[in-house]
Amino acid sequence: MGPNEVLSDVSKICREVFNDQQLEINPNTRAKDVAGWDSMTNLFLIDAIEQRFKFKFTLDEIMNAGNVGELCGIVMQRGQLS
Amino acid sequence: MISNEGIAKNLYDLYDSLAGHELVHSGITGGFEFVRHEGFAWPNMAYRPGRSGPARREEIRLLKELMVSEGWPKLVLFDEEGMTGEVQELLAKERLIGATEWVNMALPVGKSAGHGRWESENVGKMGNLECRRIDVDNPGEWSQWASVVSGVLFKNTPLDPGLFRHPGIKQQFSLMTAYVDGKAVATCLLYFGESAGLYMVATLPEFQGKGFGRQLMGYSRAEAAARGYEFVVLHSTKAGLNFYSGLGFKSFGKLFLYYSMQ
Repeated sequence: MGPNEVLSDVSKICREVFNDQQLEINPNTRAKDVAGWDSMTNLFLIDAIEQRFKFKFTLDEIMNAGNVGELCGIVMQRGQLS
Repeated sequence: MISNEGIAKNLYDLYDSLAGHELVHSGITGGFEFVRHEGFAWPNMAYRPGRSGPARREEIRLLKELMVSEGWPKLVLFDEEGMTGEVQELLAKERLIGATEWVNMALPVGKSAGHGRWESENVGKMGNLECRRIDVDNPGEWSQWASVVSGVLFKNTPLDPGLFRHPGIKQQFSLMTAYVDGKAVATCLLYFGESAGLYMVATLPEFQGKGFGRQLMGYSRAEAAARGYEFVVLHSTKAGLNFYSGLGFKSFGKLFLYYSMQ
């Protein structure tokens, strides 16, 4: 699985978590760009990504990831991509 | 008088009242209590009444074990007294992550309140807006109320009408809806505890900022006063603070909501 596939899967998770099937996600998408992306739903998103890719974010990563691209980068490094 | 502890206790009492219901799973582990209604959005929460003191390592470990093994509850509430630095470290080790804070707020509504901000307003009906207490046994009124609450607050996860219609439960609540041209646009739940508590305050996004929520708050305040309450209390998100402060609510302290990562 390459970066595009990871972004595609993370985008699907975002649409599910934020309850918006029309949501357009790209690597630069930040919390402020998405209606309903707050501190609570951010944890729902992280939780869902962890379960999909079977790894755990560190506390620092949870608190400091700035956009979708950074989340995908962490997935690429540590997630199970098969 | 009202206090920060009293406002938090109102919420714990609400969960306690649900914990005795046949549809709701509940239990106690250490100083934590928890409620959950399987397959439905609400209730689903662990909480720690202040009387239990700060949580100890073993209690947090047991709670986390429960959260992982059962898959619920995913959320746990702490009041300020229980949120010590040591507790925060223990929570982080167990991957219980701070999700948000709620501010405990109260508004006097009884005789001591004097002339309230809504005194001169017709809070029941105004133009094409109508606020009223719904009949939970009326399927249409229930479904409109539940649709707004579920859509705005619970990602469209359903609420169980059977819980709200149960004789032992429905006498503890009034479910309020604001209708615009017959369409439900805003909701709340008024809980009759030691204080009147406002919960499930929700307004459809496209109707926010138009004063409908304010009118519904006024209607709910009037019902609380009519029932003899001295205070209405609630727990505001950061986003709601300006709205409630503008209605005259005062802040008393915080509740901390933690989310259990897998």
